[in-house]
Amino acid sequence: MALKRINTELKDLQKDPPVSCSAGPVTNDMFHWQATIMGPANSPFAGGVFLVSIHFPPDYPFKPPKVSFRTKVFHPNINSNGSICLDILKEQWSAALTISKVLLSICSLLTDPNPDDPLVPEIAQMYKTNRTKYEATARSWTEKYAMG
Amino acid sequence: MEKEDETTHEDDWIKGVEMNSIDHKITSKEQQHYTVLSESDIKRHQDADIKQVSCVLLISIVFSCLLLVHHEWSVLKVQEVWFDDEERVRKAVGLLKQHKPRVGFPNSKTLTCEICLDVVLCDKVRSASCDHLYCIDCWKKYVDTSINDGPNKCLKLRCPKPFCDAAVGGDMIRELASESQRNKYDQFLFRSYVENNKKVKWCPAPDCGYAVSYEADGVRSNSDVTCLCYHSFCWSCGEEAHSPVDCEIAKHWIMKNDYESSENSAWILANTKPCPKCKKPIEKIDGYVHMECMCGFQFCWLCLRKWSNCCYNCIHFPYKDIYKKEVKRNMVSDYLDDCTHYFESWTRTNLIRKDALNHLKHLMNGGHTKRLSMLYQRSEDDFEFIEAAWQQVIECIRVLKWIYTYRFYLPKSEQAKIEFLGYSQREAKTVLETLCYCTDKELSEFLHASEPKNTFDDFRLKLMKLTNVSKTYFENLVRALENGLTNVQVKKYGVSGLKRRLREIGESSTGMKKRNRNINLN
Repeated sequence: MALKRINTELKDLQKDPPVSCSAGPVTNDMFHWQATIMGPANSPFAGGVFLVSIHFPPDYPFKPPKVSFRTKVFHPNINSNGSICLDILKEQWSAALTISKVLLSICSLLTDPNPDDPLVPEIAQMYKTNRTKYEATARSWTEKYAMG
Repeated sequence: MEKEDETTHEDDWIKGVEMNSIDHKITSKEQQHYTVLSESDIKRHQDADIKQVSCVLLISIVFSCLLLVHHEWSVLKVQEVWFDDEERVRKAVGLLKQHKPRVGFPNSKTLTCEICLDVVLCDKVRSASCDHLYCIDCWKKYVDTSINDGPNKCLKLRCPKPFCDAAVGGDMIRELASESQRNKYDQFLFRSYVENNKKVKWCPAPDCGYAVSYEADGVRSNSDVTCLCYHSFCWSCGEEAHSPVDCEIAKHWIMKNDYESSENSAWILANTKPCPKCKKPIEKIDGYVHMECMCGFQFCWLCLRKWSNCCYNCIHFPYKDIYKKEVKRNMVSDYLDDCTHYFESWTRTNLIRKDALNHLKHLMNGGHTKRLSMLYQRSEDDFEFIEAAWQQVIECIRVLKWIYTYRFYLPKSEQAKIEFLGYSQREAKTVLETLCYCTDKELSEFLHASEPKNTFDDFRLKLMKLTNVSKTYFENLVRALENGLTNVQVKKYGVSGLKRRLREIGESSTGMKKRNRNINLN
């Protein structure tokens, strides 16, 4: 069932790709995809291209995909390993969600971080107390790691 | 007159033992603050609670069950919150008042299932108490997966639609699950009555299917309970019963002396934290401070508070101090204190207790009481005093075992208490050895007799009295130790008074010498 659903999602993505995102399988392994996310315009990540790795579990869609950033990001909810703190990838996952919706949620997270549920407390602290410094650091990381 | 006063003091330890009421079963139900429940008892209690909530709130059995699962099987809590704010409770549990009107489809015969993304016939779809329809195959897979995920998931299952709170009832789960998964679900539901219930716990003994329902009244200093399998455990921490020492000391003592896994213990202490709810050790494997234990409890790794109560203060403001504490915490204390003497005594006494426990099990499973009841033409209930006596022997040995721990943790400066404790231990052994001799040597004469003995009634009365005397003595001793040996006068426990009491029950001093050769508890 997982493979059938993944194939259907791939077709839908190719037919109607979401804005500022793209995704597809790495080589022939349908359970391992790579996605690219364009840094949202109204965020310090604007202009950056972020690589994201997606691993589908065998019982997908009843279990969430493992999604992580391959490009370094300065963000309260993304750590140095690329792990993402996003409810729909953990306890709020639903079988009715798709990769397209997940990627859009990640874009939304880049625009609006959630400092109250942080993965990197220091960045969350900076975001809350010194927004200017946070945005400057995020911008410099984007230039350094996400702009080819 | 003075002499009489002294005698009264010496006999104070036996105060409260009514020799007239000796025929009552030693552990009378009136005194017990707990009840041992078999599987059928648990099921009966569970069904009764579900029916009660269903009748009082005028809701279906399915909804009643969901409410109770959500409120940890507390009937009172369910009724309280329901009548306080029914709408809020319905929303929290996912009980929609009725099916929402079904959405009209562009093509009335088919629709796309949002899970498998296939086009399916409308008669092949189902929904929970909402209007979100999915094909039956996807529902089956969804239900099976949730059951595999364990009770925290399947007992509180919601509609697969993101952010839809509609609960999936037990009737629908049973209908859609495969037979093996259905049995698994029923088992989860059954076990949740014990595991999520604040008043009931499983007996921790291996292969024991009994549970214990405990009524805390705030009066009792210790919370020891004894299961029908004869396993005694502490209600508070779930470990083996350890009065007169408290849970913290008992835990420290066991960890300190667990030679086989001392390295594991050190690693666990250094790298994990106990879940604030179930106390199982949890290791943090990445930087995320929002933890979720296997038991379903969510908490903050830094302050160990419930996640919803954390308010993230520990992250945003004093988090640097907390990290400093974390570093300090990782400096594990040295576990190689010189406690060999006490630990060896503790272990030796533990082995004696295990032997006594095996003896009791052999006695009860070997049909000895049945044989005695036939031999003496009496009901088997008349021979319960034998089981009670052996249980008391086991309890006395258990107390003596933990007195070694108690003594180890007594500060060296408390010399008077140390001396008194040594004295009490010797006296306790005298009481125990008297009881042991009677339950072991004297009882065996009756057990192996081929015809009835006319001294049996005297023996029965003597053993019952000894059991009660031992019970009272050890209970008083435990109480004194739990109170930190405050206001204890050595004079009250005079040797002559104790020995005279034992002699009154029918033991001669020569018999005591003989006993000391047979049973070594030193």
